[in-house]
Order: sequence, then structure tokens, then C-alpha cells
Amino acid sequence: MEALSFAIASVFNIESILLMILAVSIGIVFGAIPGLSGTMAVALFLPLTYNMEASLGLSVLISIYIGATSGGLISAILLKIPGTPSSVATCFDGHPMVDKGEGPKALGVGIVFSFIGTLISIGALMLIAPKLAEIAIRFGPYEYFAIAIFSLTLISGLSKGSMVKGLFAGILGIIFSTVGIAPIDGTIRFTFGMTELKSGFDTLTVMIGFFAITEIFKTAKEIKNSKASKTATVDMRSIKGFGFSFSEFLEQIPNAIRSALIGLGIGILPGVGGGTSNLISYSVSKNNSKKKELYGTGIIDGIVASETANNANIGGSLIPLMTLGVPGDTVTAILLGGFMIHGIQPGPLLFSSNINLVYTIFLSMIVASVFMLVLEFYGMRVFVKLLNIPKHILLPIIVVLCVVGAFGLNSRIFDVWTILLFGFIGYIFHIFNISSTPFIMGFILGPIVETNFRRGLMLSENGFLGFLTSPISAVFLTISVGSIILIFYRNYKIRKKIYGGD
Amino acid sequence: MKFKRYSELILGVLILLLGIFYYFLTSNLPSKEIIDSRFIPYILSGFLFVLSIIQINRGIKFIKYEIEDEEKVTGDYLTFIKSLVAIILYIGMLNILGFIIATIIFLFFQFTILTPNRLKSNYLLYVIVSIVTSLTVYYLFRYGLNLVLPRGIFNIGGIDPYGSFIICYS
Repeated sequence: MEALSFAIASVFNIESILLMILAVSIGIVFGAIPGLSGTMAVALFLPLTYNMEASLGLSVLISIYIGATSGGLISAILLKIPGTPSSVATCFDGHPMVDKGEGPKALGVGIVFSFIGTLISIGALMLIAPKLAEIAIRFGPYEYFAIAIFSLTLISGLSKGSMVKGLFAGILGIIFSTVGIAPIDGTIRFTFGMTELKSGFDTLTVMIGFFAITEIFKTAKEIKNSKASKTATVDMRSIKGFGFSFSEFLEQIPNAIRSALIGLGIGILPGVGGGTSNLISYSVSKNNSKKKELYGTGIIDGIVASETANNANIGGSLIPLMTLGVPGDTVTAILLGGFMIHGIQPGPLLFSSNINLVYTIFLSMIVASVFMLVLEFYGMRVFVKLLNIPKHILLPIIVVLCVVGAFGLNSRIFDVWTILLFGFIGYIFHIFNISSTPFIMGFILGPIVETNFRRGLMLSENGFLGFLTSPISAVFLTISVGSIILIFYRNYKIRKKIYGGD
Repeated sequence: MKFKRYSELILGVLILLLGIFYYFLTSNLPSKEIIDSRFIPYILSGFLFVLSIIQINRGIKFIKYEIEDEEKVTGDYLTFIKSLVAIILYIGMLNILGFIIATIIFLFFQFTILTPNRLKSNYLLYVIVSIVTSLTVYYLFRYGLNLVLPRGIFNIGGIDPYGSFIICYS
């Protein structure tokens, strides 16, 4: 229990508490403002944590994550525009409730169940992660290779756009990760003679480019002709308690638990995140409800389904990150960078060599969730005001922060040009309707794929069959190949129907 | 809009070109054994070829397919290009003018470029916000977080309290 006391000391001190409150607030703001996202917030604030201690830095980043995932509900309900992709389904019932005059109730429900979702997932994280780490410690190159491949095929299949595009994005990501010094034999690849490229592209520059710069390009295209958005205003302080009755709360519990499990399950799947879980949870909830027809007219069930799931995603995504070093979604991909910056390699050894850090993370997540609950209730007015900051002022400032973040990595302008490059690539993806998540995952998992592939081959003297000797590896590889074939086949049938045969 | 119709095909061709380019680059790498640093890149380029064939095939089918409503593509590419140029100039000027000045100029112009048509540009506000933001970010990161930012050839931003002179390379 020494780790627990370390955690308590780390979290419950003035500096830490103040920073976490600030972090959660910033997260909520980024989550609430459409066009800004949690991923962007974590990417932009990562540089701030360089000089902090590892546990404080990671607590701050995770606090931002928690705030941002929940913040999306504010604009989803009040503006009918989701603040982040994780809150799309919240719009469906959230805004109609405002029209019915039940705005505070919608917000109250959203906030409370975001909180519950986060807590459930933290609990699961605390229970599952150590057990999984015990199993994962015995993982070797075969298993890591197979899991990485599995993650990539999963992401490619589930992302928007066709599977071909998803696979293309993933492969392109891996290709970009091959720039630099090759694993195992150290050959220098694809640097075009530039010294700066010897160490390859930095993950953070890819993130900042794809999530912030691309967003700015997208906005530039539309903003001149944009219309003013009307924000519905809601006075949170006039509501009694949480805005809804205890009996309604009890009624929603089965819905909440199911949604949390969905969010958790989807979060554990590497690469898939809140953007997917809220929608799936909403449709599952709708299909299993006696009030099917009422979904979309403004009932709290829809909000519960969406918000519990997207917040449950948080703990779920941390599970593969902490036990295997494989990110559960794009934010945890940045958190991976956060760990590495402090010289910590997430993976099964984390639980033996850095158990203090692990407990600090768990505790800070719980504390951050509480802050989120309190801040959203009492600070709602402030957040709503912030929603009105004009985009044409906000976005250029974000560009400046991106530049600072990129430059701060290695004090060289090269990294700043890199974010522009990836911003551009991200924009091209947008034009061709290719999802960026497979690219990010490909970029991060590429080295894992290649290193473990070559190590695996060396283990069994260049026999590809070695990968099938391990049960776990064989299972994951079979599922990967199988799912690609299945999805292609299914899409082929759909296309045949649409295009009416050759 | 013509582009949408051909977009799938264009993408397929792009993937093919990328595959060829990457294959070519890979073949120029030093080779030792069969399984070496060229192996995975070769496999990747192979995948790109396969994907490009599938995508081109789909692209061709897509052209023939009648799209019900061809939505007019509204795209304010002029603003996009102005923004892009502004950002490129900003990054380029960072090491010459230094962070503070370059940021002030960039912010001011970017605010103006992005102001929606329905609003009038509030130049005074833009100037104030540019200056305040630039100075706040610079000093916050320099002294609050020990993060060095470019000072340009005129060394704007003052000398370190510790008296050391930091040179930034591009």
C-alpha cells in the first residue's frame, strides 16, 4: 500500500489540485467548442508537461481528456452541434429537450452520467489492467506483432469511408513511420539526405498537424460564409439538485450500466474511441428500449446512453495503453508520447517497476472526474459564454500554440514545418473522405509491427510459421485476416446491389 | 461538381503513384540479406499496389454511377490559400523576426483573413489581441515553463536572466 500513499501525496497537494482543476476546465472548454477537440487539447498541452514530474504531467493530461470528453455535451445540447465526435448522439435527444424547456435537465443528466461512466471505467481499469499486465508480461514478438496487426485491421475496417481507404491510411501511416533509423539493423531510411529526419517524424507533430492544422484548413474554407450560431442559454444555478429526480435516476441505471460496458469494450479495442462508442451505445439503447419511438424527441435515455458510453471509453482506452503500450484511441496515442517524454515505457512492466505512477494515475482520474462534475454544474454559465468566442479569433491563436508546441519539442523549426506537412496531408484525407485515425495508428504501431516481425523471424530462424505457434498470436492473426476478407466480401455484395452488377 | 465524380479514381491513381515511388525509394536502400530493412517497405509498397488496383477499379465504376443530387461544392478556396500562405510566411519568418514580432503580424493578418463576411473586421481589437497573445505566450512559455522560442536575428525577447545566449537553428 506504499504505492497508494505515494499516490495520495502526489495528488492531494496544492500544486497538483490547482493544475488538475485548470486542466479539467481547459478540457471542458476544448470539448465544448465545436472544431476543437480533446485530442487537440491534449496534443497542445503536452509540451507544458515536459518539465513537470511524470505523475503530475500525466495526471494533468488525463484530466484534460476527462474534461474534454464530457465537455462535448454542452454544445451538443445547447447548440445542436457536437463539441467533439464523442457527443454526436447526445445531440439527438439533447437539443429537443432544450426546445421542450428541459435544458437544465438535459445538461444535468449528461453531466451526472458522464461522471458515472468515467467512474465505472476507472473501476474496470483498476481491476482489469493489473491482471492483463500479468498475462502480457509473457508476451513476446509474436504476440505484439499479432495484436498490432489486429488493431490496424480493426481500425481500418471501422473507420469512416471504405475499408480500402482505411487500409490505405493505415499503411501510409506505417510508411511514414519507416522514415529514419530502421529497427534491428539501424539502416537509415528515406531521409532524403536531411539530418533532421534521421530520428524520424515525431508523433506529436503528426498529432498536432492532423488534429489542429487540418481543422484550421477546414475552417478557412467555410468561415467567410458562415452564419452566426445561436446558443441557447441555460441558467444552471436555478435547478434543484441535479436537475432530475431520484426515481428517474434509478430508472436509467440498467441503461447506464449497459452503455458503460459498451464504452468500456470499445475503448479497450485499440484505436477505436469515443466517436464510435456513443453512436453504438445510442442505437443499442434505442433498440432495447420499450420507448423506442420516443428516442430523438427528447428523452433522457438517449443522453444517458451516449454520455455514459463516451466517458466509459476513457478508462477502457487506458487499458491497452498501460498494459501493452498500444493506444486505445487517438488521445491515448498522445498520452503514449507523454509517457515516453518522461522516459517511461508503458507496457506490462509498468505495473511492476512504476506501480506508484499507476496508482497516481488511477487516483487522479477519480479526482478529475469529481472536479468535472462540480465544475460543469457550477461553471456552466462560464463555459456557455466561452462557446461564443468567435472562431476567427480562436483558431489563429490555436495555430500559434501549435507552433509553440512543435518548436518546443526539439527547438527546431523543422518540427514546425512538419506540422504543416501533416496538416496538409490531413486535409487531403478530408477531401478524399479518408479517416485520419488509421493513419495515426499506423504511424504509432508501425515500429511495433516491424520490430516484432523481424524479432519473431529471428526467433524461429526465418520461419513465418513461427507466428502461428503461439496461440494468442495465431488467434489475433486469423481474426485480422478473416475480418479483412469478411468485410471486403460484405462490401462487395453491397456494391453489387448499388451499382447493379458489372 | 466534376471533382467528386472522379475523386475515387484520382485517389486510386495517387495510391498507385505512391506505391511506385515508395518501391523505388526502397530499392535504393542498402541491402544485406533477404529479411532486412527493405523487407517491410517492399511489403508495404506491395499492399499499396493491390489497394490502388481495387481503388482504381472502384473509381471507374463510380464514374459511371449516376449520382442523384450533385451538390454544389461550396469551397472558399481563396481564404484557404490566403490562410495557408499566411502560415507558411509565419513559420518562415520565425527565425528572422523572432517569435514575438512574427506572431503579432501573423495573428493580425490571420484574424482579418478569417473574419466572416457578415462581420466587420474590428482592427483595433485584432491589434490588441495579437500583441497581448504574443507577449503572454512568449513570456509564459519562456519563464513559466522554460521553453525556448525563436528570437530572430534582432534577438527580440531579451537576454536570459542567467545571461546565457541561446541560438536557434532552423
